[in-house]
Amino acid sequence: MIGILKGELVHADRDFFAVNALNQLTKTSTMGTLFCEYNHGNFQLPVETNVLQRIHAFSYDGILITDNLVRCQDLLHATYAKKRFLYCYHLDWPFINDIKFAHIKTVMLNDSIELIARSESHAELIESLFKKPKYIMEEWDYKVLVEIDNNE
Amino acid sequence: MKIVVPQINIDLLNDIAQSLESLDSKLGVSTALWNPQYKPTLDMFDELQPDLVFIHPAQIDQSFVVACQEFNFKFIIIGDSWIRDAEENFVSLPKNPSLVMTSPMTSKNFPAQWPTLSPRHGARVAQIHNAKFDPKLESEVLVITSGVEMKGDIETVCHFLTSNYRTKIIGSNGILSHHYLGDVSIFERADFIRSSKVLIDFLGAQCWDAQYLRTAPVCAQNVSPMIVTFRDIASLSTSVDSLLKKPMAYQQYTDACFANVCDGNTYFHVVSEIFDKIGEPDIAQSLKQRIKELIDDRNT
Repeated sequence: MIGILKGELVHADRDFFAVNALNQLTKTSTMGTLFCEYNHGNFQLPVETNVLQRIHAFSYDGILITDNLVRCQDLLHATYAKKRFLYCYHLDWPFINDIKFAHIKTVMLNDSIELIARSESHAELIESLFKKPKYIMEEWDYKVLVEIDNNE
Repeated sequence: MKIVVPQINIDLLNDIAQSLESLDSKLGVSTALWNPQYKPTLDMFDELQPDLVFIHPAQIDQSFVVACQEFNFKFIIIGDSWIRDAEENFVSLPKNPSLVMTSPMTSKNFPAQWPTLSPRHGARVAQIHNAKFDPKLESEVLVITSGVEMKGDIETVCHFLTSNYRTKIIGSNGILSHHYLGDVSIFERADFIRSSKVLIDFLGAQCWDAQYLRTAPVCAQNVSPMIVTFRDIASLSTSVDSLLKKPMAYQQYTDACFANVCDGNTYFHVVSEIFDKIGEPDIAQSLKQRIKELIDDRNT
């Protein structure tokens, strides 16, 4: 069981690929669920999988993955989740104003959260700064999601 | 002895307070931080009855003049220039300061009869003594941006370092780089320095901490004859390569740096000089004794 945790769905590449992957998962034996706050009006891809309010992620007992540094704080409190992953889709921490290392280390160096990188070069950077990503997944590739579901 | 240190944006004052705070309480030295924004001068004197006050010229007003007349205390001025009246003469106080801490270049901005001492940087032992190596913070090169204007040549140097070495950048001044990990607490900073092989110091102030923690400093300023310096990317690259690739040379350099910082270059030594200068040899001696104990502890 794979759950993808989002804040809101917007018409941006990472949300598009995430929903597309969840739609693909419906054709496999891996069950997918989308947890999100709300679907922004401009998001145009049909969502063909389970969609639940973000709050339900806290009682989800599957594998939870988020690609959002802010939402990643939720993972810390999702105590029922079988495994927790942060997908470093955009390496976006330098763009956060007044960033504190204490905030970054809570998620990136947390022993209970594994990292997923988007490419080999991202993986190298993430490993040199934080820790070795457990998986490399290009643009929410659903085949890697199936692999994660089978392995974990 | 009650000592009051104002909470204003001068690093030296924080370093003085931290050094005094780590003295044994049996010595009878108590240090209080005073925030002048929230506590008026006379209220502070009334409540704390201090024996020694550190003060900046910007804090001198009529209430301080009254305090000089009403209370028995010594004071030390830290600043660049003294107040002048309409005729450009120095303003006088009911009593003279025990010491003025100002650089040799600005000492002419104070009355000539006042004793002066030039402030200098040292290792912030009170902050960093318990630093530990943490594999999660490990890096080849560390850059600390606090107090450094991150633009122009400095930005270029940072990009060179991040492209060529396993580099981490921390500190209060941000830089648009994935290697920038945000601002850190004083204890995180100490662990980062301890967990790094080389520290690049643009200011000439952080290298003392690196020396105390046996991390190799490479400095943009000429602060001490024995510290490796760089003038451009080429000399920086040569120095960092040499330190990272030659373990014996690295060991010799960090050992020599540690000996150098222990030889009078910590804030305990700096504060001890201040107390010697104002006629408080007991406190000066206690500070020297305390740093000796800490160095022995570090050696074991």
